[in-house]
Amino acid sequence: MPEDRRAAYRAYDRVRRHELEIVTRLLEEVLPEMPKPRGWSHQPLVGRPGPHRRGRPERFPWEPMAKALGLMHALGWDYRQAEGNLWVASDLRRQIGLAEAPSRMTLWRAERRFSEEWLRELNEKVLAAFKKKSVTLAEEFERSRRTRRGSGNTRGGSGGRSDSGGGSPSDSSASSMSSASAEEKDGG
Amino acid sequence: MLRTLLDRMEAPLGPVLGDAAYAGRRNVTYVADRGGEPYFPPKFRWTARAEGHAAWRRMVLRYRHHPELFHETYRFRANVEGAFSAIKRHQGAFLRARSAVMQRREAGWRMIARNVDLLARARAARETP
Repeated sequence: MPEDRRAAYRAYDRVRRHELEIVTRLLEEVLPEMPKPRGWSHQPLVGRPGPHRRGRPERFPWEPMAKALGLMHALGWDYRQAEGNLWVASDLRRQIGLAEAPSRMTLWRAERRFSEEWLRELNEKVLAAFKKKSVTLAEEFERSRRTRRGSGNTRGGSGGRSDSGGGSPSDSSASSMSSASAEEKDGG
Repeated sequence: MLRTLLDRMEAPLGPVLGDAAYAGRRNVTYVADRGGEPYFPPKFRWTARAEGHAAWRRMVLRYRHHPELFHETYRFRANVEGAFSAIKRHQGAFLRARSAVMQRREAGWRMIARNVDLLARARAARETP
């Protein structure tokens, strides 16, 4: 096996073995930069918050709940599995800052509270670590096109179509060229 | 369908790639009107007749006379296909939520989880000797 393939496998193996801690640590890095989700009224005590307040108050703060939801989706848990895993793992709860285990319905309600705009902003924060500074996607695309044209490595008529394949991962829509993003430069 | 997707994008379009199912005169004109460059591969028995859609004729003639330029851009579609394939393999091919609102939320969280996973792997690759 070539050395670069071996190194890639070692990295993959390391991430798989310590996935929980790595994902938690990354979320801890990103979430403090995020604003509080709109309408999140955290009330640590159960009960009605007051005569003029409306709606059911959240029982948990938003940051631990965002970490719990991030973990849930990163590790492929469903709501029941997330409830069970958070219930049994008190050290994990302590690490992400939950005083007690949320139920599956609490997790579902929390997921509903994070708006699409908020999620988009969080995604941008995560992607910022991949992106090169001061290079837009359009510039990156043009640079790649020029480089390829300059190297004379173009694909000609018969073998040119590329309908399948393992390109780099991306975050955005399918049909526009803006999908060919810059994270492949740093991505594993 | 294509127009519904592209309507959500506010930024200038740039090159727009799609498979042959999107290759229609109205789609091509829409992309050209939004300032984009359409790159759709040919369907069976298509013609260069504009029929009121000049952008279609331009695209077909570019494909016929400069196929290497066409494919030089079209090859980037593999990135998009690869990305969606990886997401489906990593996260599963279906969403659990039933309402449209929650499906969008769930899809958003899944994209974030996917990017966090990639970031973790990239860092591990850098740190692994």
